[in-house]
Amino acid sequence: MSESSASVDTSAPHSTAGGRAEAGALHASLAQKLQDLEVRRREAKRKTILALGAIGALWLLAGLPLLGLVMGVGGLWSFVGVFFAVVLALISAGIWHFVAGSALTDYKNDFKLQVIGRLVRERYPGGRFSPTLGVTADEFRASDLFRKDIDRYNSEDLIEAKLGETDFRMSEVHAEYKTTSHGEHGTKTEWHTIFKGLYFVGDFHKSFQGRTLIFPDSAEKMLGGLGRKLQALGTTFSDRDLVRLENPRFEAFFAVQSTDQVEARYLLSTSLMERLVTFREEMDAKVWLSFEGERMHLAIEDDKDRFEAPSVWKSDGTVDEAGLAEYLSEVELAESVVEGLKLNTRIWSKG
Amino acid sequence: MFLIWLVLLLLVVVGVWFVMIYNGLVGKKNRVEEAESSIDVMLTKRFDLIPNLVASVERYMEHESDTLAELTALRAEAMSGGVSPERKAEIDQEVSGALGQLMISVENYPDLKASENFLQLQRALNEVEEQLSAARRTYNAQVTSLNTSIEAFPSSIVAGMMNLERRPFYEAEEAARARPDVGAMFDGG
Repeated sequence: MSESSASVDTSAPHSTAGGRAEAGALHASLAQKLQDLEVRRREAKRKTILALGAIGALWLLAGLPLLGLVMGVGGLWSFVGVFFAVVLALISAGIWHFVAGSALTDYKNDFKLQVIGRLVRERYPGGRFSPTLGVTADEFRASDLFRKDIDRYNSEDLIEAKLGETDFRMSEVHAEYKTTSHGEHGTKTEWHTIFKGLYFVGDFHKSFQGRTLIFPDSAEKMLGGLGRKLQALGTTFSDRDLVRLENPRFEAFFAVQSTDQVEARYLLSTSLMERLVTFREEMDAKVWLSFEGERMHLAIEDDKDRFEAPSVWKSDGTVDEAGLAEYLSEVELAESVVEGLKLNTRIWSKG
Repeated sequence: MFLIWLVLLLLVVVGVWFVMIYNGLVGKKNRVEEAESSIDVMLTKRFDLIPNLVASVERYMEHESDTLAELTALRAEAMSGGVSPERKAEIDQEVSGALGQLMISVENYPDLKASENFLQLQRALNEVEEQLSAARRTYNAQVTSLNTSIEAFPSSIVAGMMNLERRPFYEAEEAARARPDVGAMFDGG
């Protein structure tokens, strides 16, 4: 919920020698595509520079005389000047759109579809990657983890797949609210982040009726026993109670609220608590969890923009083996949730 | 006059404080009892599975007939009513032990392991064990909270007036109960 910077260490869970060898093999099979994409990246870069150059020249040639007209002559001529300025801006937008825009967005989209999409299918057979889709705002709200009303919601880079018995959806999510303040210089609107990071929704392997929420623990860490009292106070007016668990390492990272004390412990078995602690340590970022319907929601704070094509401004944007391994580890994050929390264990009543 | 008001004020403060602590203790005591009853619910659920389990495995497991007979007898005793709490805890332990042993010996009966009926029962049993463990952990957490209030100052004074006593923890040592590693059976096939 804070603006503090955070980034998920995606390399940790899967940086095995086998993983690197696999990235090598994948890189070999994608080599031609990556080269083609690099050619297109350079083309997009050339067009971007061309467009920016043309727009710059246009404003220098026509804009400066216009400025003189507006400032110097005044009167009716100012209106004429403003009118021509608007025309100029429209022409600039047109140049950008026709010269650079499509080349740039096409390059970015194709990179995602061809490279990230391939990695997703490689990792999750039958899985899908959709760059423009994401976990929906309704799904996000259903978790009940973030109570603030959302004014702006963006999500992209959706991975949908089934791993063993567990089907899941994971995407990047950025939810914000706005505040407006009225000051001397008119109304000022500010946007604040509610949550930014990776959001995972997956089938959970146990059935449950109540509602159990797991928040990152900030109060207890800083204030100790007093923090615990504050947490308990925080639930006074909700139907949920604070659940005190017996694992001190877990309690240091998380605060649990639930409508059902027994069910919360049924969901958070001693082994799952251990696994969550390990997962939290590996991620090294704030983690939220919620059990809703038949599903588990897991939010990982992360301020990086994941699954993105190399920037056009790079002098060399060829994706090498290490670069591909990095993309692969981003894709594998969902797998490390499923494996790390052993969501595929089906020894209980829920088949 | 001022002194009287001061004394009155003090009395009100002490009274409010007393009521708050008193109610808090009552709440904690009730939560312990609630947790205790949810353990009982789960134990009953587990007892209910025993007849089905015995019926579906006795055909296969000729060599475990003693264990099966023991389970049936334990269930009958627990269901008969009028069992003391101590004996109830013992029965609980014995059932856990017998079930654990049974699940280990399943390894020797491949036909049984493959039976769909048995697999379903096994899942149901795992489910109950998991919920039982959650209920016990809940009980222990509530007992911790109650015991702390009984011992810590100043609530210890009120607890003393209420004749509240420390409750014992539920000590079912998970490892000592020889619980079957059912997960391994499923993974290994």
